Amino acid sequence: MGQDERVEAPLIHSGEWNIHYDYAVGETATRFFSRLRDEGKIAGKRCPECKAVLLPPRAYCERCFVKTEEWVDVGPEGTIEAFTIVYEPFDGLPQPPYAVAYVTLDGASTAMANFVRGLDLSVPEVAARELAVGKRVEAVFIDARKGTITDFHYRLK
Amino acid sequence: MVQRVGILGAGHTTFAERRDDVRLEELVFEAAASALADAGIARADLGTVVMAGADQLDGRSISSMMAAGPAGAYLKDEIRTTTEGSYAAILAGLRILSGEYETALAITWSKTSESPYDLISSLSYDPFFSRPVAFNDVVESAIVSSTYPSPTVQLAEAAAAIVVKNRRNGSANPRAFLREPTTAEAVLASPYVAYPIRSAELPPPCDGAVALVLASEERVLRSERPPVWIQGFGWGTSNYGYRGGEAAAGLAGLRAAAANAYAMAGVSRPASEIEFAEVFDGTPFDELLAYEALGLASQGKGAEFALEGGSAAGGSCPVNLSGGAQSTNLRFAAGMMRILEAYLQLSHRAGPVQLVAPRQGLAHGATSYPAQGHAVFVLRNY
Ligand SMILES: [Zn+2]
Repeated sequence: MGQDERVEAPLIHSGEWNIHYDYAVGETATRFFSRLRDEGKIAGKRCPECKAVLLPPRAYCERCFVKTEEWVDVGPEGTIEAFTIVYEPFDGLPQPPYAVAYVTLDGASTAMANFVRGLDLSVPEVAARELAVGKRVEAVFIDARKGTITDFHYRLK
Repeated sequence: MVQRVGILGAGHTTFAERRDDVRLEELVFEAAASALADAGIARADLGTVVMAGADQLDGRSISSMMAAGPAGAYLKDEIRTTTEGSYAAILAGLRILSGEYETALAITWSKTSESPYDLISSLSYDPFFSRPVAFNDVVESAIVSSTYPSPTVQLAEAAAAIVVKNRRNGSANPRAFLREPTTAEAVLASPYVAYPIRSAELPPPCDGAVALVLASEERVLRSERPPVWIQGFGWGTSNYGYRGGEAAAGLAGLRAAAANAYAMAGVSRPASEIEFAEVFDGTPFDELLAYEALGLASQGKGAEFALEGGSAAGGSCPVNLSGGAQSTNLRFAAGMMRILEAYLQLSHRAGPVQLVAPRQGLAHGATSYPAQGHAVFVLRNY
C-alpha cells in the first residue's frame, strides 16, 4: 500500500467546562464582610504573639502559627505599598484603564489590595507618580454595599 | 548526604506558537523520547517518572493520567506535581537521593495555545479578597515590580536592557522559539500593558515540553559523557500577600530557595562563584529582581548590574545566555528549560551560545504567582 500524500489541516476539537463553585467565606471573613456592608468599617485581626494586625483578617497567624482572637478597627486612611495601572484588556478582568494598589491601612500590619479610583489615568507616567509607593490614600465606601471587597475602594488623599 | 544527583541527559520538543500537529500526549512523548535518547537509556531501565503539569491549563482533569504513558511511565512508579515545571526536577532529585531509584525522568509541558492562559491565571487568586480586584499573572508581576526601590527612569531602562540582552542571546540560540533581536528604543516605545510592564516586555508564548533524566552519582559516573551535577537545590515559598514594610520586590521566597541551594552546594559567595545563570524572566522585572535575591548583584544594585552589562554575555555573570523565557516563553515549563540550558552549558553542548569552559552555574524557576514560589538549582561539572 502506498504512502498517503495528502496534507490535511490539523483538526481542532473544542471543549468547555462551565463549573460553578460555592466558596465558604468562613466565620472570620463573614464578620469582616458583614461589618463592611452594615457599618462601613474595616477591621483586621491581631495575632496574640507577634501583635501583627492581619488584613485581610485571618483566623490564624501563619508565621506564629496560632489562632487570632482580637478584632481591631483600622483605616480609613493608609499608605500605598505597591500598585499597578492596567492599560490593556485581559480575559475576565475589567475594561482598562484601572489602578490597583496594595495599601497598609493605618493600624494594620499587612497590605490589602483594592482599586484606586478618582484619578486621571490617561498619562501613565503622570498617574504612576501620583500612585507611588508611600503615597497616602483613604478608603471610600460605596452606598450600595453587598458585603464584598469592592464595597470600598481607595482614593488619593 | 551519601550521594549527589547528576543529569544523564535532556530533551525537548520543537517549539511553536501552536503545536497543532500533535495532541498533548504526543508532545509529552516527543520530549520524553528525546531525553531518554540523549541519556542513552531505554524506557525499560528507567527507575521512576516525575511530571509537572497543570490541569487547568491542560484542560484535562488529572492530566497525568493522559501523560504518564507518553512520559515513559507505563507500569512504572510515577508521581506528578502541579507546581511550576522545575519542581518536577526537585521531586525527581529527592527521589534519587532517597536511594530508591537509580534514574528518574523529570518532565513538564506547556501547551497553552489550547487554553485561555490569562483567565486561568486569575483563578490562582483567592475568591474573596483578590479575585474581585482584577488580578492575573501580569497584573501581579507589575505590582511586585512597583516595589523595587529604584528611580523610575533607571528601572525602565534596566528592564529594556534585559529584554534586549535576552532577545539578542536568543537570536543566536538554535533551540530558541523567538530568534529576533530587538532594541531598547522599540521596547521603550511599546505601550504599557500594566505599568511598569510594557507590551514588548511580555514575550509571545509557545507550545513545547522539556525533560531531564536525573541519576544517582554512581549511575552518572558509569556514563560515557562527562558528568554534570545538581550540586545543590532549594525551594522557598513566601506568604500570600504583603506585610507592610516588606517590599514584595525583596522576593523572600527566592532568597529562601537560594539560601538552601547554596548551603547544599557549598556556595558562600554567589556573585563570584556562580559563573552564569538561567533565571526566570517572564517579564524583565522578574529577572531584574532575581539578581539581588540570588546574590548575583549586591543589594540595591540590580538595575545597575543590568545597565552596566554584568548580566550580558561577557559580563561578570551572564544571565540567560539561552535567551530565557523572553525568547522561549514556555509559560508553565519555563523553569525546566532554564535547567536544560544550564545543563547544556556545563555539558559543553550549548552550541553557538556556549561559554568557554564553564564550571558552575545556576538555574531558577518561579511559580506563576511571581513573588511567591521559587526553585533554585546549582549545577556544576566537577
Ligand atoms: Zn503572629
